[in-house]
Amino acid sequence: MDAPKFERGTSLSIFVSDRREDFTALIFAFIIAFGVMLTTS
Amino acid sequence: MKSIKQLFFALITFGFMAATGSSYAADAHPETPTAAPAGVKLVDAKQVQELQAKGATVVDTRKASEFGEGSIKGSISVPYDPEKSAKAADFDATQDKFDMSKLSDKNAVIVVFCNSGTCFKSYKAAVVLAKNGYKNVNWYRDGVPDWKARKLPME
Amino acid sequence: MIYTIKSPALLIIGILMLVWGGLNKSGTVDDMQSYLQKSSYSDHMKVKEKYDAELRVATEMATAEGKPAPEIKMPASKFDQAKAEQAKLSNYFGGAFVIIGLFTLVWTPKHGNLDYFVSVVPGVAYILLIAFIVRWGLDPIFANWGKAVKEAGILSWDFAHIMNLNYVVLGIVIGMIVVNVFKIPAWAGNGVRTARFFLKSGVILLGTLYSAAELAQLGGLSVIMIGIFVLGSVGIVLFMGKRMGIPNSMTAVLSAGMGVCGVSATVAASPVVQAKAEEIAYTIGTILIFGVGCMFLFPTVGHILNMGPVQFGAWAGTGILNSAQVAGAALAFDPHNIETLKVAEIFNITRVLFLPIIVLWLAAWYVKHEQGAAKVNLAQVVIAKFPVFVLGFIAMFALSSIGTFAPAGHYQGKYFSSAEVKEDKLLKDKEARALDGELTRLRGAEGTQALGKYLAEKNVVLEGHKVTADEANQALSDLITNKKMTTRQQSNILKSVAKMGGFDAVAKGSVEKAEKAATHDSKTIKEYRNWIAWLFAFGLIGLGMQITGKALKQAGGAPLIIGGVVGTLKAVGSLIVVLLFVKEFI
Repeated sequence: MDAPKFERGTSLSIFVSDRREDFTALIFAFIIAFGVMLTTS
Repeated sequence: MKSIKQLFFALITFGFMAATGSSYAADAHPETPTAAPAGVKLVDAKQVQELQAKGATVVDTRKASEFGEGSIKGSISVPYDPEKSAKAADFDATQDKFDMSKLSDKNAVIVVFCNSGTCFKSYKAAVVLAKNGYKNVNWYRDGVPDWKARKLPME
Repeated sequence: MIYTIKSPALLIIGILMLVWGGLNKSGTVDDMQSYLQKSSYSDHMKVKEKYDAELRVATEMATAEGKPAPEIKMPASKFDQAKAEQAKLSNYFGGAFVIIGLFTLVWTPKHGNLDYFVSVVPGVAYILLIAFIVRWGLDPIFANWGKAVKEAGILSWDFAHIMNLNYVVLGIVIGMIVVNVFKIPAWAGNGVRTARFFLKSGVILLGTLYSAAELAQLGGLSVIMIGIFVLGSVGIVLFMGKRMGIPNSMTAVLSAGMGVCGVSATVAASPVVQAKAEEIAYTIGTILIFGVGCMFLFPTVGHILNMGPVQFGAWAGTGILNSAQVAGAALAFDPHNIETLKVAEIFNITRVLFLPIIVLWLAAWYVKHEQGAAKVNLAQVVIAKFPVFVLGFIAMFALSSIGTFAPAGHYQGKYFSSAEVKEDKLLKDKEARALDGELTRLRGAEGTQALGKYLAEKNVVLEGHKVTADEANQALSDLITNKKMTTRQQSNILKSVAKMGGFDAVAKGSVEKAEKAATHDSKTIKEYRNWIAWLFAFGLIGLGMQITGKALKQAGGAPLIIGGVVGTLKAVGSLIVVLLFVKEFI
């Protein structure tokens, strides 16, 4: 059963490229990291 | 084919849910009986104080570390440990260990306690003592939380 | 292409979550939760007993004085906190999903970014709902079931524990069931592709849990082990591929996948060896099927052999082929204490760092064996394909080591501090007396002999040197004087000494209490662990949804044989090395 064709990203990711996914993950993780740090200390 | 697979999974899921539903309905958090077992007397805080004044041996059946943290003043530590038997009135004492060598006099007045309703240690200790020929076993069911709430001496 | 699909699904999921949140807040599901959240419920019982006693006593006194019964509120227990947390998550997400759900029903989507991002939400909600069910429901149910079956004597072992049926494994299994038995609903299609993104975020955050202190111990070992196994695997695949007459590009890309790190390595190496799309797919298929097997098999073997977290982490990090599956196996082995995962990730990252070396090697190999290959700029490829999220992980690790999130030198989020020991955690007189008694005993003739024998037998070592009886006595004496542990070294010494046979039970309890009192949990790190657990739960469910029967079928024939052989050699070889050379330390 095939995943529907996506014109954006691949069948395994919503991001156009691995690189973009990594950077966004980076930003997301940093936001969480500093967010948590500021709210718990 | 797909629908048969789906039906199969649906059946498994429902069967599973039914099984878990019935198992959690069974009591997962038992409490000790409110009446004293045979050969044992149920006592309250006031009576414990009176007995202690007359020289009774007050026994903390909880773990040694709990005893160290804080217990009834003047009590000694005889842990009912390990406690492997089920938490029920009809428990199997052979699975547990309770070192009665510290309580050499079988005629002495003994008071056992632990942590109130959900803790079975003092209940089991009382039953085991009575079965082994101890004549004066008293069970302070309400235990440490009650003693503490009444602001009675702790150590 | 318009991505948003009109469907009430998102709204329904949102409502379901809000309902769960409401049920928790109102206390309607307390009975069920008392069964599911067993450990926090026993804390609740303790709090309740204390409260009942106080209420009863206060009422008695009030009645005696002719006053009305007092109203005391019961303090919050861990159980209440657990319920509150579930309610909070359910309500926040449920509320958001309801709003967005309503929006998608009335809105006419137009091609563009908004459409794309909104279309992702239903799939995310779908996985999140499954994550809730798995983490809060299935995981405790299986845990209880395993224990009950063991207690009832039907099996002599806890099957849920041995087969690692925790939220990690169950999540992946559920994901696989969804995609193979049912199918991923059309409205969820776009959103489930976010799984890898969240998984990567989780790996980056993982960097906050490390500190240089641990890496100093592990670093050297991981480089050596990884070096041997990665280079070895690549070499063997290349050799076998040539012998079995498989196209060079297939062989090369397979070796990258089997040697370094699954999918990303495969993709990185492909342009260098001009691999065809189906060859890449074939490699990924082989890696996935082997990896899935390892993911379930490794933790089971690990438990049977009673491996410690450092050992298992090293083994999984070396032997399993794909980052996500390494994480899955490590978490499956030990879901509550992220220690194993951290060790596995260090090995995993080291392996990823080998990628540039492997790419260079493969490029050279391919060019040598295939005359006529177009010239590919190696430097460009390496820079373009290096997994950036690994850099993120390293950045987090650097920040953590300098103490940004918790005191530098923290270990697993826990750190030792004598100064921060709370007043009420100081040793009581009774405990000090018990310890004093032990100290006197140990200083006597018999005691000194017993202590000396024990220290030698158990090989009690502290920072490289053997602990002497004098040091032990000094530590004990300091503890009595100060009523708390003063240094980490003394704390470790006493922890070992207290385990000696014949050591007074009350004294032992006091040592353990003092040790715990001086060990503090960083709230920040605890919160990070929570986030990481959720990100991984989410990501792994999504991972499960990508393991379709078709993908598994794609692996077959010669590459599978090579993959199987090399994979097994790697798994068994690294197991032997780990068991022989990796000790539980730190």
